[in-house]
Amino acid sequence: MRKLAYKIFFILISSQAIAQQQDSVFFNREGSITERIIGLNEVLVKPTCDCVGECTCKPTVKENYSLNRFSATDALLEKNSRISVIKRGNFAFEPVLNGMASDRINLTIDGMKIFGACTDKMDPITSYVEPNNMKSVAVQHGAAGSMYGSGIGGSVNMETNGATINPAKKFSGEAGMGFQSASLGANALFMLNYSSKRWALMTNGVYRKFQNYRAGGGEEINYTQFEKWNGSASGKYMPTDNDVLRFDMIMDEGYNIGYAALPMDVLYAKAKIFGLTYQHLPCHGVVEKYEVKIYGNTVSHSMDDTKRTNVPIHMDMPGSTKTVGGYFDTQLKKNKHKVTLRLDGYHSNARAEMTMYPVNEAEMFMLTWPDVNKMDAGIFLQDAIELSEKNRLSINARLEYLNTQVMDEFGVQQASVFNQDVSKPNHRLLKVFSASYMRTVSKSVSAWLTAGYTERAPSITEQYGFYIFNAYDGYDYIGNVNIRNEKAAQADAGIQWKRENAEVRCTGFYYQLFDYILGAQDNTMDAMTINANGVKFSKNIPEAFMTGGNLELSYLPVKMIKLSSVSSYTHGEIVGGNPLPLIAPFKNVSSVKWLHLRGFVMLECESAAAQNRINPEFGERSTAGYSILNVRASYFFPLGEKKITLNAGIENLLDKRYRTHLTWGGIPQQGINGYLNISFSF
Amino acid sequence: MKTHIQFLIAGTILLVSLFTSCKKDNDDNTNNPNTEDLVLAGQAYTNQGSILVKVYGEDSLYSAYSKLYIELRDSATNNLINDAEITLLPQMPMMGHAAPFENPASTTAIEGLFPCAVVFQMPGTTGWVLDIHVKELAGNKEGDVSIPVVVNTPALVRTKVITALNGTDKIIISYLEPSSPEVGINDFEITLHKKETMMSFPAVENYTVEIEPEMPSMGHDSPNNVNPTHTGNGHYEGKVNFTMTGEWYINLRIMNGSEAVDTTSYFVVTF
Repeated sequence: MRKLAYKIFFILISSQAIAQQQDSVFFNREGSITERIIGLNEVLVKPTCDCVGECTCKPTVKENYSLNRFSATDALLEKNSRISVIKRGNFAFEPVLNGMASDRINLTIDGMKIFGACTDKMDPITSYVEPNNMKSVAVQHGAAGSMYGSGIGGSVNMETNGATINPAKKFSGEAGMGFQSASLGANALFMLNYSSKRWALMTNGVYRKFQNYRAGGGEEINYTQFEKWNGSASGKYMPTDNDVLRFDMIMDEGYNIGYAALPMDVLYAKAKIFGLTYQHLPCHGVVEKYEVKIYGNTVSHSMDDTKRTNVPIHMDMPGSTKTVGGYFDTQLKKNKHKVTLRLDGYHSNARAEMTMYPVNEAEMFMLTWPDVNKMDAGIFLQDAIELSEKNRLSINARLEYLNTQVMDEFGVQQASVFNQDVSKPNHRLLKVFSASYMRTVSKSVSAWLTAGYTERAPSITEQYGFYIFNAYDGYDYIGNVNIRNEKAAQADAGIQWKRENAEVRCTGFYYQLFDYILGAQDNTMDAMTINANGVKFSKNIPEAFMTGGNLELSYLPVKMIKLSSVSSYTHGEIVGGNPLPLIAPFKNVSSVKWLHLRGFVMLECESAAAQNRINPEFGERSTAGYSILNVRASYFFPLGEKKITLNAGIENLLDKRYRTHLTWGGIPQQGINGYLNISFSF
Repeated sequence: MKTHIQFLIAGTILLVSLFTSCKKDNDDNTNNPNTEDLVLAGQAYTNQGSILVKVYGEDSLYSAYSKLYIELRDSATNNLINDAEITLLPQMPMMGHAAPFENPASTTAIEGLFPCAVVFQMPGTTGWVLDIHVKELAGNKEGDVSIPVVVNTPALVRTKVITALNGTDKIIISYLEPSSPEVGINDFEITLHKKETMMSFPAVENYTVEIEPEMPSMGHDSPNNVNPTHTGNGHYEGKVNFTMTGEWYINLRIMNGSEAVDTTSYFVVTF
């Protein structure tokens, strides 16, 4: 048992010396081999992980979360140098991984498939989970992320905290409040965990209410307000040391959310997410673990233009998705092979309507998503082979079957307008394959290379969308039921040099994209939306490519001072044509951090180069470069076992007026913003 | 268990016999055409020949292209007359004008009724009269009726009298389809008639018609429409696409060869 536990669990060294406890307690506390202990005090997590290639089990959440306890999920993700975000307002930013946005990547919460209900991508699912409920984010690139589904850019799986079984501490929790100046924002959060010997219950919640923010120079940016709450509950039960049963529920509701870059705001955005997981960890034998999960979720979303002036026709656009699914996972280990097998499947329905209310005239109605059912089943297989102490190889393969069908006859009739027959089900088979090789070159240097082939199915908008207005290029988008799957041949490489006080990591990626799905203008068609530029149909572009890389440096010249710098660059192009739209320019974030046992003070400089590689067909405009300065500090007061933590900082210290290239509508970012957060944990 | 089966068999026999007997009734009773979904517009006995003439519409009559169904009976025997020659003349005697019409295509009734059509180009609670000449072929009896009918104003304009762009011709444009519009592809049909004299409205058979659907409040059209072409008797048929529900204008462009007849008329469709 002891030996196995060592094999399975990450080695944990905490300031409170939890490591001296028994293995069984380890297990109790963790409850899952995929989890890492999150102590409420500063915990130093040193994973001796099994990742082949770039490590995906860095405690990114906690590290960045500690900078600002009230960061939103998207802001945390953006700290990853290969993730950028598309902003349409001040809420629910859409993550972009390796230059690819949400249609091209897998976004999952605890491995659960959840689909946003907004046809205009106003609600990426990252907006439905909060950092105070999040333990880690596993980011995998390209084909290597195929455990969570077929995608091109990779996978982002957000793992939630869940309840913690820790008999030594019956009650633990946290309560906090925070304020920020630029948008007169107020945040509140709490967490409470109750643990018995064999079971535990946890609940947490967040409430946020923000007004319009002020951009650099003081201009108030209208329609950037929002209000939301998020609550979650989790229970864990361990009938034996080898079995874990876990239940999770997340509810998230946002109201009156402004989207300055769009012609409409959001009346409400709601999600209900349920998951039930069973894990078994045998003590001996070939099987290391197996896990069964079933889940269900609903997302509903409705837009609102009643607060806007000069609205030609008032309209609403309610949408909803409903998903049920499950997976079975097992890990086998024999000799030098560690095999992971996952069987997964889901059923999902998406429907979005649009009703326009002209004055003194009949209502106009259409289905922007014509009630589409998706049935999906996949199999994933991975063999991680320890070739030698210094050489590791991992081979991944995934096969996925997807069936989509329009359920509403109204939608079938709509599509007939464009001579498209959507009355029959559409079948697709998706194939993903990749191999990663990692070599420990010397004590301090390791390098890895991944090569893969991956495919993705079109999104519902790309396949069945009906006059979905895109405010970025001002076109109405219409799907194409027979559009081909998008494919990519891809390589990812990295090298890392690591000493006790310094680290250099450099990665690069290249995607050759085939049948890249993009909107193509059709001049013969008349736009539906008033003042729109025209109509675009989904089309396969024969070839495009995306390449880029990042460089991360960190150095501690003395024990108390940490210098770090993260740079990233992405380049995307249609072969023989224009640049791909919405590609972030070169970006660098550098910081000096003065570390103290009880906190830190940090000066951060965020800079981006100008982006002049633009695609005018998509209404893209050049963006000037910028640099902004942020100051952050954190300090905690211990009160025995309890503590009070203060976070404070000033972002955009020089009140610079700037915008990031991925911000829609030319809207400037937040100006000088002071924040102060206080939390009490026990 | 046994009794259950017995009941079941008995019940089945009963049901089957009920249905078959009903069907038989219908087959036998050719004396009663099915006018359940029709609305009686008026009836009268012929001046000679003793024939009862009943005129049905698909609804109350409106100023529009109106399909009519005529039922004829021998007033002595009350038997249905299935073979007859019917000649219409709808008119407004007080105003001294007639209307475009289509006589029954055949002298044989279809399920006891003679389908025909009239374009009432204007409404009138009084004033409209359907003059009908009936010639019963079996018994060779003849007679005339004059049935006054009420013609209502429809919710949406379905027939228009326009002056052609040449300044002289009067054209009557009537909307037939789509009568129950849906999102997607719909059959489109209009009729064109020319006012030759106050009493003569022949069908126009050699014009070309182009259509463009438009949502007036949005300003957009719809793709993949098929312009109507002449299919006979002044009827022009094509296809119209609606991308959403709401109020649509179907704009018309009517040409006589290279000469524009009308470029501004439209029909409103709301659903």
